[in-house]
Amino acid sequence: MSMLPGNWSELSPDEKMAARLDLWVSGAGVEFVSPEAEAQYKERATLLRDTFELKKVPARVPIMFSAQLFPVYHAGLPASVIMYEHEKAAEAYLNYHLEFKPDAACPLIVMPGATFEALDFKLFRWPGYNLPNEVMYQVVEDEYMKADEYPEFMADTMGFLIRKYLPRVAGALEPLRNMPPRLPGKKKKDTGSKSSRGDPGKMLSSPVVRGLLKTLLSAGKGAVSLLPTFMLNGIAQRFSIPPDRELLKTGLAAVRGLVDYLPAFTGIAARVVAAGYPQIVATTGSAAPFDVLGDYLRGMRGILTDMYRRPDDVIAACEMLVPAMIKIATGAPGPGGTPFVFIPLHKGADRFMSTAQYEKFYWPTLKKVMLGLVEEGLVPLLFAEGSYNNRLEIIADFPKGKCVWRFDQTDMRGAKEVLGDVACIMGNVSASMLAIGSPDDVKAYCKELIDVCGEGGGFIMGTGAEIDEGKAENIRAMIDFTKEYGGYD
Amino acid sequence: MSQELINAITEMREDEALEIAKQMLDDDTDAMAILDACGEAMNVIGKRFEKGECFIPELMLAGDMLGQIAEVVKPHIKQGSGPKKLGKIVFGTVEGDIHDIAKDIVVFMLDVNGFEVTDLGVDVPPARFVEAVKKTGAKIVGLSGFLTLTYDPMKATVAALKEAGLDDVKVMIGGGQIDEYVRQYSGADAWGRDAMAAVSLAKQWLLGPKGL
Repeated sequence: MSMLPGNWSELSPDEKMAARLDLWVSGAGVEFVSPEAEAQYKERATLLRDTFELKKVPARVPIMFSAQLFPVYHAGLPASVIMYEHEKAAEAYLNYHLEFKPDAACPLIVMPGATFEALDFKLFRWPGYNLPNEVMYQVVEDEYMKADEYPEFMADTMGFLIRKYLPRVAGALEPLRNMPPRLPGKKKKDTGSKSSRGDPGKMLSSPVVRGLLKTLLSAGKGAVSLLPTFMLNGIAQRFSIPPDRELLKTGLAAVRGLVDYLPAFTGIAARVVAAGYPQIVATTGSAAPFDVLGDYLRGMRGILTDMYRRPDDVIAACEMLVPAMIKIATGAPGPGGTPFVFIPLHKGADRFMSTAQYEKFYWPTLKKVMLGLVEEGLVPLLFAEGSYNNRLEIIADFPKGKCVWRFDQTDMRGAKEVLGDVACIMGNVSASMLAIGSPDDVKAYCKELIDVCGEGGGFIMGTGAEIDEGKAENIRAMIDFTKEYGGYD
Repeated sequence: MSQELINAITEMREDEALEIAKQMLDDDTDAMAILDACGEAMNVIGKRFEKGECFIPELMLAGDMLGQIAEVVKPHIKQGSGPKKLGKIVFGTVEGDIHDIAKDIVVFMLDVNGFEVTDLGVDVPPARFVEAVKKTGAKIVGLSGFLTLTYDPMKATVAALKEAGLDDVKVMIGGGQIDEYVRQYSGADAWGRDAMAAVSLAKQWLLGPKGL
């Protein structure tokens, strides 16, 4: 049931944004752990809203600390818990919020390690499997889409993804190469993914359901070996999959991994919000179409040289991806659901292309995605990784007070000068300072940021990158100092 | 025709560059002269990159062009007339980190600028750096790292080199989250922001007045 106003489709984009923000600030539907938590939630959310909207000066500079592995390390746990012991990771994340008290909730980065193993997932290497236990998971970029496959990708995206992409990124999905193309007129069998019976994540949180599923799946995996071939073919036909015994076993093992993973994934956000921390960044967001191509399909070398070798293909594929990148983020929010859509930006950084290339290949479709989200009342929160000094004037061409720009190595003074009247800015205490600097270093830098960027509001204190290694005293200094020094009276 | 080849490469005209190189071979141009022209083109590109007039895509495309031309030209190189190498460098991404794209670009630029680079790849423990230095006699080690988890491995690698008695080896570091903090923390001799910084450092260390 949607918590948005009943006349949603009649509202203007501005009204939609206001409605989403009102809902978010109110915390409606959240089961707060205490009245204090509810009061603190509303105070924090109001702070963040006022800072973002640029309509007035907030009570003080808010702080959004982007912790990645820090809460896990701080709890004395190895990185591998994010892949395999999700409940432990979830506890560590909750405790981090209760101890350090930032102004916003931090999304928990967990992944289903067992599912990845079952799939022989090649897109990542991760702790507890093929990286040391202590280190963060890392992406293995490659040309998972070949240079000459743009036409195929655009003509039959689903077919390409199923028959070529998935087998390339997941070794156990090799049999999908033989997936028959859909016959015209044949209806796809719905396997319940759009069930109106409720949130699959919620269902899987129930211990009874989980227990039952675990039993069935353990039995099922073994049972697949016993199924006579004619039954296997029948099942395969019904669900339009290749009649492949190994594939079925893989599917079951993958789902088994999800049974453990999903409750932690969906549950932790709710627990942190209930403790009084508004959710800004959720784990799902959107992306620049150019980055979808570059991160997941062509790889860095591929996409950057494609700008020279097949520029029309790049532009056409980016355009094709725009509606999907808007749709991926538009949905009715749950209790405490964030109106912000996190969009990490990778391949458009200063060193990675010229201004002309950025304006031709990267920005047009990113801007379309941003505008599409704003139409739906959502707030793009762009995270420009690397530096964006050469991009500031380009990105300033956007409606005022409708998005947030988080910066990494960009000069923050320059960002405030060029962008300050258009968008709320965030950033940029460095990962290196937090890992090996001192509390005095951190405070001095935060002071400078507040003095320069906090002027007139529209500034959220943040980190330049997601924080793994970090000294607790530095993080404490960053959060506490911002609260002490960042007042506007 | 050398100038035509240089122009084709610096202007990113990939197919033409290869055609011109092949034509030069057909015209009995000395293979080394062709590679020299490639080197000159890279000098131009390197300077433009330093000045912020060209970027990573151009370095990558230039790398591809040089690779294609080298493949065609190398069989024609007379024995022993290879370009004189300026010095040896051992390079790698440190333990725990598997990022390689930027490392590959730095290695390529060092190679093109006359250094003999041993690329150890990614996730390289300190002991392998030490081993490679001993084996090659390199006087420069380059460490790349893109995550904060690399700070301690970088420190450990610098320490391991000293422990092995390789005090005269200079260490440069670079990567996404690398800065002066990290240089001090790790004990490295210098840090650089990009491929051209690595080239400058290497040249200074090997050819400067205080050259090794």
